[in-house]
Amino acid sequence: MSNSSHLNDVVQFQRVALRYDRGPEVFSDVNLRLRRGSFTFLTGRSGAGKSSLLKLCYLTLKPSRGLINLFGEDISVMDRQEQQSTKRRIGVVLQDFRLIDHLSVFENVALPLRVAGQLRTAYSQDVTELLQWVGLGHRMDAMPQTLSGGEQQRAAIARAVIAKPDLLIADEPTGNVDPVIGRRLLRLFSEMNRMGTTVLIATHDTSLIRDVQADILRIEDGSLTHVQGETSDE
Amino acid sequence: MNNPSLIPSVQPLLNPRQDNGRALIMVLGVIAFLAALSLLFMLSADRLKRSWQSQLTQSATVQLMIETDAARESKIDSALSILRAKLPEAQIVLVEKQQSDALLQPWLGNVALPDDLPLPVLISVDLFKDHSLDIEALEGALRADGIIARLDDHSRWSNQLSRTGQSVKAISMAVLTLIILAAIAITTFATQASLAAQRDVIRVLVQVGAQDSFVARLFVSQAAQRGFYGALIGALSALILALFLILGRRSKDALLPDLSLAWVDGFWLLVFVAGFTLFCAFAAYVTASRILRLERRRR
Repeated sequence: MSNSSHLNDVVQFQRVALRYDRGPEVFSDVNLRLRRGSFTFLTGRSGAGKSSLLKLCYLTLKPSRGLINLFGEDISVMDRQEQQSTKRRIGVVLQDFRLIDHLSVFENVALPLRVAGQLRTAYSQDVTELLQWVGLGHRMDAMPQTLSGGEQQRAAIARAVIAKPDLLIADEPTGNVDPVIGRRLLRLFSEMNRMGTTVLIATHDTSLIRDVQADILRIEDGSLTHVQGETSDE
Repeated sequence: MNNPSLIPSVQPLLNPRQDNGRALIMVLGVIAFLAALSLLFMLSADRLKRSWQSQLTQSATVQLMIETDAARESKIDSALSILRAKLPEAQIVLVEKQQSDALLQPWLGNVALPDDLPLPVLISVDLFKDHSLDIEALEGALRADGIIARLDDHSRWSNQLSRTGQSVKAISMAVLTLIILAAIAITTFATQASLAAQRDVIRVLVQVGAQDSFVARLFVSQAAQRGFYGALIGALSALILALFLILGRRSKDALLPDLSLAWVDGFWLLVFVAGFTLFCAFAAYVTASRILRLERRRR
């Protein structure tokens, strides 16, 4: 594998293993490369380790073994500041949404921009447009607990993409929305992917996979297999 | 949406309802009240000490030990002349017998004093500002004229007053320091509780890439705001109480010493409010940074 191809990798796992505390390894010797601009689905049955693998990608977990490079940088030598700067390049949509209860939908979506130090006047229009696009234009001032599950999910997705991340990671992003909204969200992901964002989506929704031309990885019995497309799992 | 009036207002990232902020402000207010009261007492006591000391150092008392005989009046006149000649810048007044007798009243009561009681004749000397007394020279000049006199420049009282003043100041400073330390401890505990209560918010902030310094700043700003309101409430309450006490002292039978307020006290109260706020902010910064660092290591 040449250096230039390494530099072109957004995510690279080399013989990565993960275990929680002293428990058994969730997976071991996982090799994975996500090329810049790729669109990848991660599939597998419930409890197979999809979410754990994603957590390694968005720096919430550390591997018990192996090497992980994000954007060409070895995460094991990153200091806290560099890790946080790297996280700003990653948009994350989680199953539990993690919206902040006392902030309005607008404020929740604007959070990554606020954290990055942008002024309200600079991001206000972008946030408004994005919220309209995901069908929450009329709920900007609403509090998360007043939203339906689907609306909360759309708000979480809007928050993940508002800062135009280099890598978008989503864990079952269409799990709580109806098929129409689901396809619309997938279109948003595809649109972002077309603009250069690398997308990694964990899902067990096969209809979702059929709708998009993408690489497919499957995690099963602690190992990762390549089902379709160009993404390397070697 | 470009119209600023349509943009929703910025909401605080930390949930203001999550950690009993109002109760904390009240506790800080009580602490600040005690600290501000202690500060006002220290300033007032210092002013009183300086005023008394100034009165004492600018006056002296001459005691003439003269017999009650025919030459008494001429000796008194002679002593007055010598003192006026030696101290042309001072106001020299003979203390009338009724006045000097009245000075004995606290010890002897209201009894009539016998005429032949050998009491010293008192002469009061009030110096103008920045003039000093040469006691030995004055006593020598009077002795040369056959008058036995003792001069008291009140230095013993002045020194004692100065020591008492220093003690009052030191005690007030110690009380003030202890109260500020209590405020720091309260803010530290409150910040720890707040970090625990806002764990979910912090988790999201860290997830979207917030640096530890960004998260710590949120708690610093929250603590500074609460410290400021607490200090303001405390300082104003202390000021109002001090005014009440001073107005009460003006009544005839007041037991309180001659304490007072000055405009400069307002300045010191402002310094106190700013300092109290900074101490709270600093305590929150140290606590938040330490806990975030520990959390990071745990992960």
